[in-house]
Formats: sequence, C-alpha cells, structure tokens
Amino acid sequence: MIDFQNVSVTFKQNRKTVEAVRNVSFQINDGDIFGIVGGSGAGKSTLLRTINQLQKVSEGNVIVDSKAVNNLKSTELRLLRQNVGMIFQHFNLAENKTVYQNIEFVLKVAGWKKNKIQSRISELLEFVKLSDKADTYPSKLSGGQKQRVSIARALANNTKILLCDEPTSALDAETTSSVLELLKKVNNDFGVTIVIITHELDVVKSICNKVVVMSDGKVVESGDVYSVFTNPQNDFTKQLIEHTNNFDIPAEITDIIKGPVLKLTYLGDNAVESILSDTAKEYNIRYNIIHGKIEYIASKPLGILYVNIIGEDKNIKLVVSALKEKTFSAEVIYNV
Amino acid sequence: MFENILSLREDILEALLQTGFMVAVSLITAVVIGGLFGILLYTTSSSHFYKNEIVRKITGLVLNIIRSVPFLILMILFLPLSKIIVGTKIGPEAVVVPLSIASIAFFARLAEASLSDVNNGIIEAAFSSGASKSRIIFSILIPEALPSIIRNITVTAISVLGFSAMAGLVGGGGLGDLAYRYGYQRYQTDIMLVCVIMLVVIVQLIQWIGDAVALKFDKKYQ
Ligand SMILES: Nc1ncnc2c1ncn2[C@@H]1O[C@H](COP(=O)(O)OP(=O)(O)OP(=O)(O)O)[C@@H](O)[C@H]1O
Ligand SMILES: [Mg+2]
Repeated sequence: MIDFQNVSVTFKQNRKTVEAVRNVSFQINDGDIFGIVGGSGAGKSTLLRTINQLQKVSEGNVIVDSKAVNNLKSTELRLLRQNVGMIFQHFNLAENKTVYQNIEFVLKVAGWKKNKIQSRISELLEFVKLSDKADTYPSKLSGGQKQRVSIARALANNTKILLCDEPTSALDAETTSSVLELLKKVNNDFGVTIVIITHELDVVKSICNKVVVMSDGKVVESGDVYSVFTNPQNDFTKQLIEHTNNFDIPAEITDIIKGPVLKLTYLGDNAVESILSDTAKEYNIRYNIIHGKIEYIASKPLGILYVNIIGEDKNIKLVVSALKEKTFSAEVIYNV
Repeated sequence: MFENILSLREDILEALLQTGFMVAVSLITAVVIGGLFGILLYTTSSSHFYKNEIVRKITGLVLNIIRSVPFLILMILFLPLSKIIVGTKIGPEAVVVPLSIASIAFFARLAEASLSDVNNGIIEAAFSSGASKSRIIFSILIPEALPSIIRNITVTAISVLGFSAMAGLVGGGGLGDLAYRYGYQRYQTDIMLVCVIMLVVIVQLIQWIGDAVALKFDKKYQ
C-alpha cells in the first residue's frame, strides 16, 4: 500500500516559492491501477516522484509498504528504488546501450547473478513481445517499442509497484492502446500496483480503477473511476470530463430542430429504449435521436444519448423531469 | 631545395617524434585528469549528484584562469615546475609539464559540456532503478557522453598540437621548433614548409581518426 499523509512539496528558487503539492492525503491499495489526472503544473509529477523519493517531501509522510520512505537512509533508499519501477513519457532509455544492456543494467544494480540475468531478460522480452530486438539500440525502435522496453526494464527486478509519468503522451492512439493493454496485463498477471499520471481521461477510463484529480497542488476529487466519471462533484472535474465527453451538435442540425435537446446518460443496465418509448406514450411527445454512444469506464458501460423532444411545452417540462428520475442524468443542453 | 630537406631528414624525424611525444603525454594527462575535473564540475552542479556551489565555482575559476593565460606565458611560468617534476627546464620533457596543465584546463571544460549534454531523463531513470551515484557515473553517464567526449578529445589533441608548436620559443623541440629555427631564424623556407605540411597532415589524421571512432561509438543517430 502507498499512503500519502499530509504531503506537501515546496520549491524555493531565487526568493520565489512554488507550492507544487499542498497537504495531499490519500491511499493507493495493492493491485490498484491508480490514475492521477489534472492540468499542467498541477503537481502530478512532483507527487508521483515522492513515492520513490526522486522528490523529497517538505512536509508529511509517504508510506510505502508500511515504511516512511521520506526518512530512509541512502542504502535503504536504493533498495526501495530497486523494488519500485518507473516509466516516463520520453522513455529515457540509455541510447548507447542495446535493449538487452538497458535491462541488464537494472538487474546488475539489484545484484542479480550473471547466470540468472540472461534468462530473466529473455523472459521479460518475451513478455513485452520484443524477443527479436535484444541487440537493437533504442534509436532503431518505434515509440511504442521503446515504451515496452522501458516497461520490461522497470519490471526486471520483479518490482511490485510501477510508477508511470505520462507513459502514452508521446504515442499515437493505436500505440497508446497497445501500451495500455500491456500495463493491464502487468497488473493482472503479476499483481503489480500501477500509479499512472495522465492528462488523457481516456487512459483513466480504459485502465484505472481509482483516480484522483489534482488542481493547483491539491487533490480536488478522488474515488473509483466509474463514480468520479459518472458523477463528478468538483467543478474542475466536471469541466475536465465535459471537455472530453461533449458532443457538439452540428450547425446543420441546430438550424432545423425545434424544441429542446437533452443529453441523457444512463448506466449500462438501464433499458433506455423502453424508457423512451414509455415516456413518449405517457406524455404524448416524440423523440428525435441525434447522437448516441456507449462509453466504457473502468470496463463498465455508460450510455450517452442526445435527443430532441418534440411536443407541447407543458408536456416537455413533465417529460424532462420524468427522465431525470429514470435515467442517470438528463440535462437540457440546447433549446430554441 | 630537396638537398636541404634530405640533409636534415634526421632532424625532421626527431622533431616529429618530439612532437608526438609532447602531444601524446599531454593528451593522456588531459583526458585522465581533465576528465576527472570535468566529472567534478558536472557532479557538483547537479542536484542528483554532489551539488556544491563552492567547490564548483572555485574549480571553475582556477580552470578559467589557466585557460585565459596565453600559452607562452604559461610555459614561462611553469618551466620552474618542470625542473622540479622532470628535472630539466629545456627540451620536450620540460614543455610537457605546462602543456599538460593547459590541456587539462582545456579538456576539463569540454568534458563538462559533454556530460551536461546527456539527457537528464536518462540519469533520472538510472536513479529510479536504485543505482548508486558512482555506478551511474561510470555505467550510464560516461558511456552516454562517450561519442561527444571522443569528439572533444579530438579537438583537444589538435589544440595541444598547436600549443606544442610554440614550444620552440623556449627551446622545447618538435616540428614547431624546427620550423621556427630554420624558417624564421635562417630563412630556409623549404624546411618551414615541410614542417607546416607535416603539421597539417597530422591535424587531418587526428580529425579523421577522431571522427571515425566517435561515429563508431555513437548509437544515437545510426
Ligand atoms: N525542480 C523544480 N524546481 C522548481 N519548481 C518546480 C520543480 N519541479 C516542479 N516545479 C513546479 O511545481 C509545479 C508542479 O509541477 P509538476 O511537474 O509536478 O506538474 P505536473 O502536474 O506534472 O504538470 P505537467 O502535466 O505539465 O507535467 C509547477 O509549477 C512547476 O513549475
Ligand atoms: Mg508532469
């Protein structure tokens, strides 16, 4: 378990002080895939780096497996780092070392015996599907391959915690999903706890089970991913989520429609068709479906439907409030 | 014209060997000791290693002073030291002492620059694996900086060759000395020309070897 207890980090530079992390407390359980999201400069990287003490805390404690890592002596600290892997946005592989040598370095650091190193590296390269690239230099690899090597390197010493700082931000969409699949597999096959910083909410939606949202050094929202996404409490989180979820109704459509447009969201188990047909009958209105999709958040479905309601004003009012009852949320986003 | 050269061919050969000796010894000292100073400058400026402003500034100041003194003056100043170290104030052996000192200061700064060019993220990744500082310096930092260090050794070698040519002014021997004695003092331009051509060829050779070796070690852009 990773436990942040009132952690603050303050940078002092030429009389200027920056409070990068302010009094943050939360816990990450073993086996979690834990997302940290937030805008640029929110303090995400700074917080993540306190876990392996690449960043010292100014106040508070960071407890990793019941040890306060902020008080460790240098030899204990090195031991901690040997058991916590880390991957980066720009991979940070040694350029003048082959794939094999990059992983070998970490194993030598952790004191592996020569005769074990080779078989461990083959095992790791097989796991990340790069067995044929052992003797290749990083400059010859694609971004996705580099990230897979750095995952192999981070896990080499059988680490149980993997810290990821924007691991997919330098990758295209397709490569991103293959790297995310690999991280899922790492979590699933080896029970590795993964802490992942990202500014892409899609990353959180697709692999995380828990998430914290940071803004200006503080944690402004936390919880399991599905409830944070479906029911954000904090304004900043709402903005973030709307930003990615919103569908702009094309002008061609807004020009011709009359009446309100509703955004309905419904959890996977709500039978939305029957709700629509029932309410249409009951309130004597018609629905025009403009756009609909189902998103998977932490593997659970969330339906989003944009409908235009046609009917008499007083009926429309009634049906909107009825829909608010029957679906997860119903919100008028457009009205003429 | 060729008689001059033929009659002096043993002198020319000796001068060549003297130049080779001065450059080789100074370059080796520069790479070893200057390299250590480069590591010192780098590690005392990085918070990952042994950040220490006082040590860094004092070291930097001393190196800058040496670099700003013209080599001729440096020779005159340090020849008494040669007497203590190598037992003589004349000849290539004596010149090697001030030449080494100048080259150490020259190479230290270049080595520092090479080390600073290593992507900080790579160093950070090494720290995150739990490696010790010394292991990171020798197994990551230096290998990553190696192509650039080799290019800077090449630059240093060529500068040292240039400095060594000035040794003639204090009776230090070498190709520069020969060119000066025959070409300037005795108006035998042909000898001077031969010496200059040899120096040009040596410079080209150093550059060519240095580039080839650097390229061999550079896996970044291949
Ligand atoms: N070493 C440092 N010295 C001084 N200030 C720093 C340092 N590292 C970070 N900061 C400051 O701390 C704040 C938080 O930085 P941090 O890198 O943690 O943000 P972030 O959430 O990771 O942002 P991004 O998404 O852009 O990576 C920023 O204002 C940054 O300028
Ligand atoms: Mg960051």
